Amino acid sequence: MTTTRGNHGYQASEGKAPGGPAPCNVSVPGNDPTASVDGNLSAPPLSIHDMTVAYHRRPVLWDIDYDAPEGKLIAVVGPNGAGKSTLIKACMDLVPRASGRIRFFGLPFARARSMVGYVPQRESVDWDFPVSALDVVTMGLYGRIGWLRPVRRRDRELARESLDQLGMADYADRQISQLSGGQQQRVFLARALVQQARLYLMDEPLSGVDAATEQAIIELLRRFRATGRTVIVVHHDLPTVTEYFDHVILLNMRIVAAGPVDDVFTPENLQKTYGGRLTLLDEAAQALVGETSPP
Amino acid sequence: MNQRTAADHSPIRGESPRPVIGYRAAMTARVILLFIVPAVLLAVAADALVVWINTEAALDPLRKAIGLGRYNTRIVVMAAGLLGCAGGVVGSFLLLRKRSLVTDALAHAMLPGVAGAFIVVSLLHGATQARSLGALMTGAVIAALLAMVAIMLIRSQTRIKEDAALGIVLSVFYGGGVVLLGIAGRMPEAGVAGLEHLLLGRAASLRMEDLRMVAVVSAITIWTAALLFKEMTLLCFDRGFAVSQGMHATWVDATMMMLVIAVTMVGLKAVGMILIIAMLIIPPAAARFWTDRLPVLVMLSAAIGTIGGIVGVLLSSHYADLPTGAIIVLCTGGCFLISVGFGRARGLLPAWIRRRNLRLRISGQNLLRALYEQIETNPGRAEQGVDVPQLLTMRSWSHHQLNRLIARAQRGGLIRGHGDERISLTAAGRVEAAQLTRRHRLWEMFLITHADIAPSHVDRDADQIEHILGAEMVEKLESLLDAQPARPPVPRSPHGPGILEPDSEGGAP
Repeated sequence: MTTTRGNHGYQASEGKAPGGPAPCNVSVPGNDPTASVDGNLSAPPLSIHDMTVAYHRRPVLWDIDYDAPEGKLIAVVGPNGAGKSTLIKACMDLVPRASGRIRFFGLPFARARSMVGYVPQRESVDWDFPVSALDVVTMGLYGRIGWLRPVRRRDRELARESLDQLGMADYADRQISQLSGGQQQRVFLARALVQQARLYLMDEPLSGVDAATEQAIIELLRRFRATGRTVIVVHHDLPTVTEYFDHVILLNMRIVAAGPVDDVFTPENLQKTYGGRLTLLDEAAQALVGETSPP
Repeated sequence: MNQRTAADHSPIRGESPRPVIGYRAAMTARVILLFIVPAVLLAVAADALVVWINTEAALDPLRKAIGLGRYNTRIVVMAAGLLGCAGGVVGSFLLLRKRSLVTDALAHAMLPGVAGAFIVVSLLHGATQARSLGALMTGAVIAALLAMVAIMLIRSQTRIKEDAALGIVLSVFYGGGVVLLGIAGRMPEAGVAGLEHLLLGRAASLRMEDLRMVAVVSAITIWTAALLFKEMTLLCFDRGFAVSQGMHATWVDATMMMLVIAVTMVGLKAVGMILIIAMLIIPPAAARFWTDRLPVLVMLSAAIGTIGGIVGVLLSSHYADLPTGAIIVLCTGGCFLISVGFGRARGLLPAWIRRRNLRLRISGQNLLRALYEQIETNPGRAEQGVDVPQLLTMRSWSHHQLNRLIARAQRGGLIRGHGDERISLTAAGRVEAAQLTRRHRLWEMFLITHADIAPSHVDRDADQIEHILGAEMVEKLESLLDAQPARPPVPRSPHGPGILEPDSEGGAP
């Protein structure tokens, strides 16, 4: 399938667009001995160095340093307003950074796009939009299809297979507003699946979904891991962290702790993340705002 | 990243390497196909158009009758139709991007641009030059772009929200425009430029050169929208994802706004800056009532815009002196009203009919089940019939309602009347009623055994659900409850042997 869809994603000139390996569970570019990457193959899937993000001068994330291990399921955990979504968005240039250097597989995001998949929060889009579930999944292929090229039957078949893997084949032609919340989330996951990325960043995929959907998503994440992919998931449900994830990032404006769940997911660290000890940091931020804004 | 390059040269993956030259050639061919061929076709179509407009003699009586007898009307009809079509296409994306009001601000912001351009050009080159369409339109576009930048700056640099930013920019630019218009009005020959008509439009003043401009802009607009269809769709639906895919969302956004500005600009003379927004918003909003598919939505919206434009012009040419722009807007508004009422996907009437049909079906099924249960307790009634007054006590339905339901079921061949208020089930009715009752009881049993709901309450809950249980759900219930498949018996009512609980107690209507 790569032979006909060649070198023409949205950034053809940079020579991206990994010809998609056939649907999901098969070959992953990273494991393919013939594939080599511009950047360093041994470079971590995501490397954040000295990142600070601010909204209207108020810091949201401070001095983030993090290297994601390859082939792991990583949870990002922290209280509301800790900057979990912002962390993901800032890495992907969706939110401006005040400072910091981000590398995906040793490359800046602009050149690593085809290897990075993104699942936004379900609430971030208008589900009344006049498209079908299949249309939404097909959007995951637009980057590969590129400018001025139509969506072909083959693309739609890939999308359909992807929907099928999430148990949504029967809903392919439904208008998306007729889907339940869990089904909508599965559509988003199917769209990520069809992207064939090596690293996925997911924003609260498990929030507000039914038990069946949660199982389907976890199954998919494990399949990703089994094929050597890395998944970073913003997660809100503390009790399931140990069961679902290998690594965890405890976040509250800064990284409180990060590492394997067994080492890091301790009561002390959680207390530090959720407890009141960080108010000092918050107060400092407030003071900074007071300093820089006119009285 | 460059796995692609590696993959290209790897025989292992079974891919032929892609020579760069071949790719370039393919791209060139694509560009020729996508841009030059349409341009040639467009030129041919334009030629035919001019011939059609200029043909006086060949006019058939029909065309004369609907008001196309005059050369000028033909020009205006053509312009309004094209404008409506282009507005409908671009407006669809605008609506989905939730940018409708931005357009209003941009249209109003064109006033100072036009007036300013008139003043500048007439100071430099004299008033005759200042009437030139090109100069005025350039001014309009520049002012609209300035307004857009102003809105974006206010939104991103301050904490003022979008609606306030729009209000501020719209009113300030418009105010500035009125002042400049006043200044321009004192200049000699200002009236000739027809600046004041830009507010409400004056379609009758459209000339061939205006039509040509409308045609070119419409064609470019529609073609661009077609080429960027998937990008604009993705942008409107999920901007963050679009950016993560490497799409230059800002450029697509900017292209979209440029198309909007272009349509607005050429629409000024025909519809006027106050009402032009209607040509962009109303058609897609109306089309949304008919369909849930985006391509259909865009085409319908274009059709509504075109029809509104053409009908509006024809109407206003019949009743001379009525402002064309306003009539066009009213026509499109009429389409909107019809769509709200009758739109297949979301219209009020179809929704009402669907609700009514569901209600009738449910009551009909309730009637069959009530009959079945009566016969079940006393099998002799299968032949001699069931008393209607007795049925009346089973549910909270009035005598009148019940009679209407019975009449309906009789027409459907499910119930047979015996006269003197006695009815019984026909053969078909018996099959149907048995199925319904079975579904009802399966669901009741499920609720009792698996959902821990008290037997006294299940009847009411089952009442709601049983009507929408699909075959698949029934199968699941069967396997769950170990009921036998294939023409299974109706399980006994869980409310106790033989004695039916009065349904009216917990009876849902």
